[in-house]
Amino acid sequence: MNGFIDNTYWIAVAHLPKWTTERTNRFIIQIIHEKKMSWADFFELDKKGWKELFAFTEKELSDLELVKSDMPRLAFIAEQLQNEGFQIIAINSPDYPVVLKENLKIKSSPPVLYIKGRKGLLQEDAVAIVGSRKAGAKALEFTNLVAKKSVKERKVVVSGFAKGVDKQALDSAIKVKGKSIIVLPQGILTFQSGFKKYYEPIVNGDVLVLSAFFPKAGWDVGLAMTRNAYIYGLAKEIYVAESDSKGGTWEGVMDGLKRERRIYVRYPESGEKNANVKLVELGALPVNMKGEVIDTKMKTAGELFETAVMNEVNEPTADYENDKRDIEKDILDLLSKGTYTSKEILLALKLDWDSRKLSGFLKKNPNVKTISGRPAKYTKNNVTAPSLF
Amino acid sequence: MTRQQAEIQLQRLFGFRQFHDLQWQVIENLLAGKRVLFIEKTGFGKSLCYQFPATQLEGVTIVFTPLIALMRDQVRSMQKKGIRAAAINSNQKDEENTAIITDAQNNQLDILYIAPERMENATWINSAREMKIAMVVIDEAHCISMWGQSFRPNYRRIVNLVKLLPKSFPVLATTATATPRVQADIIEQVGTDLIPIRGQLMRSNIRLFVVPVQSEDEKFFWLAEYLPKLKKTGIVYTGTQANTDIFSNWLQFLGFYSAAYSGRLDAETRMRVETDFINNKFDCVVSTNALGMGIDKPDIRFIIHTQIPQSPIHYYQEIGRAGRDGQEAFAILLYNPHQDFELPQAFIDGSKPSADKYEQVIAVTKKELLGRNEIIKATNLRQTQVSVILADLIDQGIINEQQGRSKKYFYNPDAPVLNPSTFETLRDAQNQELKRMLEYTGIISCRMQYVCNYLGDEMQGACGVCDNDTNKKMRVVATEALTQKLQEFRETFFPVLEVETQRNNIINGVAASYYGVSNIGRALHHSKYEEGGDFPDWLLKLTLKAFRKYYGNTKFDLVLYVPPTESGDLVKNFAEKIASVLKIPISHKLVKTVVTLPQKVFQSGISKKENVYGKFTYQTPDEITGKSVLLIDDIFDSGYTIKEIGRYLTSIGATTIAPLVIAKTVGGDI
Repeated sequence: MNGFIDNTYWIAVAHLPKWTTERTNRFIIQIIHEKKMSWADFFELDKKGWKELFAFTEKELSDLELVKSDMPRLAFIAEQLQNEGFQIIAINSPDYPVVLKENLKIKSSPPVLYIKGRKGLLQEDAVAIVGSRKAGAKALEFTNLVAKKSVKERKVVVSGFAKGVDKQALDSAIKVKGKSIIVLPQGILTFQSGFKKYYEPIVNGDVLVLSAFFPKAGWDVGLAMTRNAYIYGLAKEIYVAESDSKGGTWEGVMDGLKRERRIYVRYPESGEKNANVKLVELGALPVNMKGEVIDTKMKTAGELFETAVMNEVNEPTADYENDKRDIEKDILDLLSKGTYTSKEILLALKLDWDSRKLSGFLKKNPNVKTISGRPAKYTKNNVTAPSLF
Repeated sequence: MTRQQAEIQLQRLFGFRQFHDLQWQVIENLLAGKRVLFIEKTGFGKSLCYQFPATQLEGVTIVFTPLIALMRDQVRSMQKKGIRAAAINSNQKDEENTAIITDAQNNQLDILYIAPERMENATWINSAREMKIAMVVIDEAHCISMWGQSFRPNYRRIVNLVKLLPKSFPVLATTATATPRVQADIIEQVGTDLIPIRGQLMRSNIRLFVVPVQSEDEKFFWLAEYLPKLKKTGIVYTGTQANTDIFSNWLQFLGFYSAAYSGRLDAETRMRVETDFINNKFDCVVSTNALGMGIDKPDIRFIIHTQIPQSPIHYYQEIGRAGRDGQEAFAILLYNPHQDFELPQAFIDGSKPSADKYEQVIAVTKKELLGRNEIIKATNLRQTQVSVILADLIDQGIINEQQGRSKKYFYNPDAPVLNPSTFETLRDAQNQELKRMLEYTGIISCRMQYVCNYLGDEMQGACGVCDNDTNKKMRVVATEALTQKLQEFRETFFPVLEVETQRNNIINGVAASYYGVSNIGRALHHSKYEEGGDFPDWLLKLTLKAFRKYYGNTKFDLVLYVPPTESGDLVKNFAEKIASVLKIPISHKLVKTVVTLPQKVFQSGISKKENVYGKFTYQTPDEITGKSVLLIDDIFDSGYTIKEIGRYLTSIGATTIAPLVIAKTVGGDI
């Protein structure tokens, strides 16, 4: 009965305007853990009280004042959520998925999750299957196979409810009575039609719908991008069915690699127009249609070009730590195989340079050709960029 | 704000010099952002406790009240004083409500009254979010508690909202009737920071009387004898809707100006009766307990109960409507110890459906996302039962509502198992309360004191004005003249069948009698189910009498009758006799297109309506064009069959469809 009494406060805190997730999380830690205050006590104070106890900036103080006066409005939203059976899981709740916190850390863990469904699903091992909205038949088949395999292994399939790979992952899991988490790119109160469509699996406890956004927020590109990070964060394993060289899936994998996540990418057949190989070059692990890691050296003749790339990326990274490393050679070797942005180069070579240092280096190097654009790309002089990209 | 400062404002805005101490105590707490439960008798001035802070706080004060009439009166009187007040309710046009919401959003209002069921309305919730709300008031707060006499499920959402409001947000819950148990329950639900403030419940101007009677007839006699002696005007409460009709007609028969009132009336009629009642146009209104709660009428001089209420709280609440001006008023209970306990007992026993019905609803909500009507159809349970079950399942966290264009019920994947023991506990408590009410009829000490003590007000001395304190009793004397008069009434009182709509040409019809009253039901049953042969001639005579009284010299072109479901030619033969006496041609061409199940199989109006829809046809439809039709049936229950035939005959050109039946049932699911 007291479970939801703090919900209004949590909604207020979770969506403080223009506060970064990290700032919000630090704020929560400060109030709840360090000061051991309840939100009710905190919001009982006024600006003066906050100033005395905490070191907020003027902007933060005025944000908090604003949100305090907005509380009755948020209470209406909290009431609707409560009435309609949505649960609010705050970051300090034992129901909050541990894996999400481990993966996204204080920097990006959403302060509050809004869910509908059997909340036990959040504690089970999960597999994310991601990919483009316009994925081809092979990618969808791969998704289907991996989803079913995951179900067989009693894992929860996490996906983002977009067209293409996401929907395939969800539907395949449901088809074999597996468990699934839908991570919404929108507020949970705007998902009516989905609740109707997936009513039975939700009621049976097989599907859980999750959103980390303001409950009334409509779909938005920005939210979809942020949502991808949550999909990765909820999963122990990540499978990429198909990725373009830009867009949500791509950004998601980049972000995942940066966090040193293991990411499995379907190794494409020759002639496929996607950036799967490029992801492998950047550090993702290639897998076959069944989701098993493959040794790319055993590639068929038709895929010789990619094989060369694979060798490069699969080299042990230990040597790179060593001072004698010839960075210039490494960069030129990589650039001889394709066109990359500075970010991608940093990732592939696991360099600890900042990207400005790298682009300066690249622009001065006579062997490197700059292809202008946003972001700029680089390749080795006299090398034609493969048409694949 | 000090009391002195506040009273300066009070004088300026409301024209009162000062607050009662208790009023100020409440207001002081509210202005300090606290939450108060204020229990105080009707007529004390509870409203000022929120009206005044509403004018002082920044933003709009939302008052949840189920009493539309109270909204109206309070808004009018506040507007007169120049206070920015308005109400949103279903009696107003949408545009009007929208304009008021806009005013509230633009900070143009100090106080806004709304009905609790608005919390079920998505549009309202969406617009309320955009308002700057200063305070929330829950009027008639006893409706929060299922231990109260009038628990309303839609108060649940108000409680939820209040719980989710920030701590320093002022909230006022008010009621005139709360036992200690209800008080504890309200505090438990709304939160322990709710400060209870209790006034005194004694209403020393209300004179309580109990009149023991030996039969239903004696109630009719008593009314005939005593109503002329009572100062007007007042309310006669009955236990059923049918009895409002019967008693009101009896009083009219005796020459009183009376009206029947119940939840069955449409909004317009209800409003008309209320207005005429407030303006003392009636000697009395005969009503179910639907009347009164919303009526702001200070000079109700008597409240007569022809049926014992379910508990002393019900009773206090209902008699509390009398004498709010402080002048003498009578509250008289007519009680037949031989049978009157049966009705409240049946209410208690029937208030919760059996556990298997709950399971039925759970099973269908697990399969699909359904609305209430779909659940009624899928389970074939009564509407009222389904509503109770849904409210309980929500309360137990087994299902949730989903707002949308229409409300749906979502099964909770983490649902606990149904716990029927709460219903048992509730039933036990209700039985205890009924016992205390029955006990009330037999006490020899002060009656007001008994009721106040029951309500947790232990401090009261004797009222000095009730029948026991004054030792003045009212008794029934059954005279020969009265007995004859009642007999005469029974033979000339014919219940009206309310089936008229604007959509087609069916008009209100008439029945020869109520089914349960006299021996008519018995005779019908004998013919229908015990192979007793045709309906007896005395039924024919009575029905013709009803026809003549109600339809007078109206001419009809054609007699039709409702084709039978299971009782063979009884209705056909009966209709033939009627037609031959009235010399109207009869036709046998109204038939069913398919065999239908008897209507009584279906528990809800929705299913009954569906069972008969499109199931009738007239074999040579051209014959009907331009005709006025007398439509005959034996028993009128829900009326869906008659209405459907009316709809159909209108569609093929009938100008009038006038129903005539032998008996109208007392119950009838809406």
